[in-house]
Amino acid sequence: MPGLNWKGKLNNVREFEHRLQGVLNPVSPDQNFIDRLYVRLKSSPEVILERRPRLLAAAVIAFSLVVGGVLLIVFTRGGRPSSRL
Amino acid sequence: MTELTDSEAIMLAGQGDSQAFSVLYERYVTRIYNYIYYRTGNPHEAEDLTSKVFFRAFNHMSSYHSRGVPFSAWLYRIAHNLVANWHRDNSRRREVPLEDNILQTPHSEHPESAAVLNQENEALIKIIRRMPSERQQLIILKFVERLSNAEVAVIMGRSEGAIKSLYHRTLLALREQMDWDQEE
Repeated sequence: MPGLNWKGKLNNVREFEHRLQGVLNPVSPDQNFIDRLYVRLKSSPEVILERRPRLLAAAVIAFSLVVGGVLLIVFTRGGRPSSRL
Repeated sequence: MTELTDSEAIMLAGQGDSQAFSVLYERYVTRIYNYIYYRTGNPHEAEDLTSKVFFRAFNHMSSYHSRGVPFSAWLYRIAHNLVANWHRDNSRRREVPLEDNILQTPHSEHPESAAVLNQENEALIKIIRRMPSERQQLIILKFVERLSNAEVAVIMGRSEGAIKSLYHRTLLALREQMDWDQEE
């Protein structure tokens, strides 16, 4: 980057830290966002909503295991040579 | 309610008291937002992820007690994990350049020197954004959040000595990178 002289300006750590401090300023979030999130947290239906996918996943896994088990039993019995022969 | 100490609010929030949790929320939301904002470079994503941090924290308040980590550090860790997921999921998407949102030209009676200063700051931000994740995290916690090495160590799960060492290596790398960019 032409025209910049970092070496001259940043020749010690303190100066460099001061520089970083000046560039990385804390920012203020939008007050509307703060207020909206505050209301959402206080009413907090999303707390339950966030748990629902986990419950759903657990139900799907349990259902799959049951169906898989039943199918395994059915196919195992179906594949066995008939005792009538 | 606002006179509650952190410990009292944490205890009540752990029992499902959303009013107590909102006290904690008011105390920490700006800090968490800042951390995420500087890590993502996008104000909209920062709002979205900040919401997720607090909902996740509220959902897991009952399990917080036994963790032995300050509440703020716990929030930063949740934020860090969400930001890491966000970077992973959005690695192909173009991010809004951080410097577009953050850098403001300081008021100056000498517009030319202000422009040069702003150019230098932009270069510095770009270099920080190219650094490894843990170094970005360290720089943000130190300079945006103004935390001590001990506090950063708790959040990052390292010893204070390790943070001190990483900090000096990071500053050195930043300076070297700036020198290198200048020579290009």
